[in-house]
Amino acid sequence: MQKKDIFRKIVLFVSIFLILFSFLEIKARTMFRSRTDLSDKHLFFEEQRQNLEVLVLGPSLIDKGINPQYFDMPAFNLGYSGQDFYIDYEVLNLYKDKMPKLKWLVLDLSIAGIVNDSSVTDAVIWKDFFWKLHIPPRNKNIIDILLNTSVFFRDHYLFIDYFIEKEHASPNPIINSFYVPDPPPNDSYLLKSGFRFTCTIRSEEDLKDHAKKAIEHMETLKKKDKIVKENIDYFDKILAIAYKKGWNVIIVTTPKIKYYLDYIDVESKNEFNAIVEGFLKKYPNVIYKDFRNDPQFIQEDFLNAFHLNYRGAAKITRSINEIIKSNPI
Amino acid sequence: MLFNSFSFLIFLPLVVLIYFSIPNRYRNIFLLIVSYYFYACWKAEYLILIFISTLVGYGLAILMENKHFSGPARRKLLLVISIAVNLAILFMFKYFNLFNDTLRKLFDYFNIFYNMPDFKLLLPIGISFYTFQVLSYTIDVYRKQKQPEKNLIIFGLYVSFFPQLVAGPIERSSHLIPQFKKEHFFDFSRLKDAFFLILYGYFKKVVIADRLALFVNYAYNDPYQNTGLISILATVCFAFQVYCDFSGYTDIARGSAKIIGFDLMENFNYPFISKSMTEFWRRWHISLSSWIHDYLYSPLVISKRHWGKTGIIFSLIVSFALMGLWHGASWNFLIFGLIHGLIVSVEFSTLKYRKMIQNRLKPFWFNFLSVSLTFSIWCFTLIFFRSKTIGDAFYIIRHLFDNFSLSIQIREYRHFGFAVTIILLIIFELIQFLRRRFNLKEIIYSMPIFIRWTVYYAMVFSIIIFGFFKKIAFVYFQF
Repeated sequence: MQKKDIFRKIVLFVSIFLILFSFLEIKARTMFRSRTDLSDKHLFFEEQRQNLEVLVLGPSLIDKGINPQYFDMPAFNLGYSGQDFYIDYEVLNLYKDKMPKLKWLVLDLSIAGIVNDSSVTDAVIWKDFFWKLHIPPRNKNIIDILLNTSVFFRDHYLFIDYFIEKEHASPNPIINSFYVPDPPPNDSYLLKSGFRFTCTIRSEEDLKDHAKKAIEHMETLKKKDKIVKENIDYFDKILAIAYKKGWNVIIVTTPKIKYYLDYIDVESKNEFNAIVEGFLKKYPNVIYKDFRNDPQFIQEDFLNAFHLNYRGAAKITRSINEIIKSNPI
Repeated sequence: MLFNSFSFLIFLPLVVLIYFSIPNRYRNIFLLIVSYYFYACWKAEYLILIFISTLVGYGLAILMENKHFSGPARRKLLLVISIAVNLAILFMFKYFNLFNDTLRKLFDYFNIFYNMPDFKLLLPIGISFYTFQVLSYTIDVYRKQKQPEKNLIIFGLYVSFFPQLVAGPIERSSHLIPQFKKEHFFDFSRLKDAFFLILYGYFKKVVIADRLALFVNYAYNDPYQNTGLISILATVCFAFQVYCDFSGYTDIARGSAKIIGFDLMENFNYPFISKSMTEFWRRWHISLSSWIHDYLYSPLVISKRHWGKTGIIFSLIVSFALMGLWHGASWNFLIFGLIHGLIVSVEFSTLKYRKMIQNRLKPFWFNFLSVSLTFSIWCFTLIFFRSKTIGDAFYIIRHLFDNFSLSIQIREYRHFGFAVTIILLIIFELIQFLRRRFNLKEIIYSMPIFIRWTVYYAMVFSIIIFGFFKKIAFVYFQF
């Protein structure tokens, strides 16, 4: 075969591949715009952002742990499972000029959050917030960023569920309301306030076991000093935005069960305290509230070793609300 | 650089393009540079180990031909130096911590203070593979079965040729070195074959092996939570995972080499249809088992020939034990190898009785029973291979038949992931079955272009849609 023919054949093969890929890419983009709990959260947020006075950001600790229903002013919980400081920063950066009435920003800060390597976070779940510019996980090279721009490539494994179920699987039922019926018929809901209402109460043994595993997992993350530094930098950037916008910030460390706290070594605790001190010194608009050893939280308030359930969420939100009330702007 | 990374998909076509664009005399040096680059993408510092291994293997082999070293004692001394240097590097980087830890436990037991710190170094990937290549070359030169290679570039390539550098196949100098001396021309039919091979390799790796890995890791990371059924299923899945992972790597390696005109040896020959473990080891990781046969087992048998049958059994057990340990610095692997050594020895000793059984049973039943038994034994030994500790392995074995409930919660599988994985595995086995019966490649090639290309696109898109792209390293990289 002539070189020219070979070249033509290869070009034709690649061109057909690209056409087929583009077709599937378009299909994927249409398909995955269907409803998910995050897209609903996004929708709820868009509906309310103009009137919001309190915005809560953070990972699942916040998503499940702060119920805006107990604030005295319009509030929204924009936390989400796996949401790290990088995503917090991206979200805030995107909406900082779109929340005209915002006065308070509530942020989570925990040892796990500081050591968390978000480059392994499943960034696909954030597509609903960053649809036009598909957000790449941080610290990746140009190839990964390019691959991230293809929804089909990134979400290919969802095709299977889609073709069988004909819908994008949603982990929790969504209630288009600020309240859950009493008694709740299911374990978990996403409410209109962005709060993920979880009812589960676990036994003490389960909590202990979970605490042990969680700490073991955290130990594996702790060694990455670069990640810690980046996380702190992103948190700092968030505080800088808040300072510039004139918002007050409440940094909270959510309660954890005693066994979990006992497992954490003194060195980590001291490092963490030093980081908090640093932020408090740098930003005068920041209040810190540590709920870790707060005696009001009992076993029945926990979903697991470090996540609160709806009971714990009610308690902590009331406490934060008290802080806001006692620090009027 | 991983074969299952996007970087490799850019790297390979670039290498092919440049390789065929430059004059033949520069091609080997070009291949050597890209091979070192390929390795340096993982950890450039460890290239020094490849350099040492290359220079030692090259230099001592040349010296063996020197008239000053032509006496048997001096030649033997050179051989010993080459083996010692290569094995010392392997030992320091791979086995020192195991040795140190065992020594520490032993001293602790006798209440003796011992405080030698562990090496906190990453295991250089591919070290066991290229070390064995250098060793086989030196031994061949010592045995005068091979002339020493005078060209350092060619010898350097023999040690570090990028398609097979990190996980084999462990090539022999007599097979690979002559290929570096030939001029290779671009051949479209080779490109087609290579494309097919690489696609099939990717299918095995990212569609079958990496999907199965999710379940296997889930079960083996915390075996104490498993029911017996989960442990059994995970072990069977691991058998397919490790096969698809390693043979997938080999296919990609062979395909990549094929495009630029090189033929690497077959490493697998449908091992799961073996009717005995002896046959299994002739079909599984062929380049390693034949290496062990030629450079360890055969010399041992010869040296112990006065022991008769016992000598063969002794040689089998020692060879398999060391082959087990080759896989990793853990006593698990030693147990894995010892069990295989024992089983192959039992097979050797009972050959007459097995023949009698074969004569009494109908061929279908004999084949069915022998294949099932061989596969079950393989799976059983894999428990030691995959478990993190010996304690984990024994726990799994003790509780294999404890509880037969099945509930799997793996986030990445989502709703139907596990079922889809099993269906894909069945499809894969069906393809394997058809490949054994028919020459699928030729059948596809003889079809009209429309059907042929449909098959190619179906393969490509099945990899993209069903593949699991989380850059899971190949299992055999750790060896």
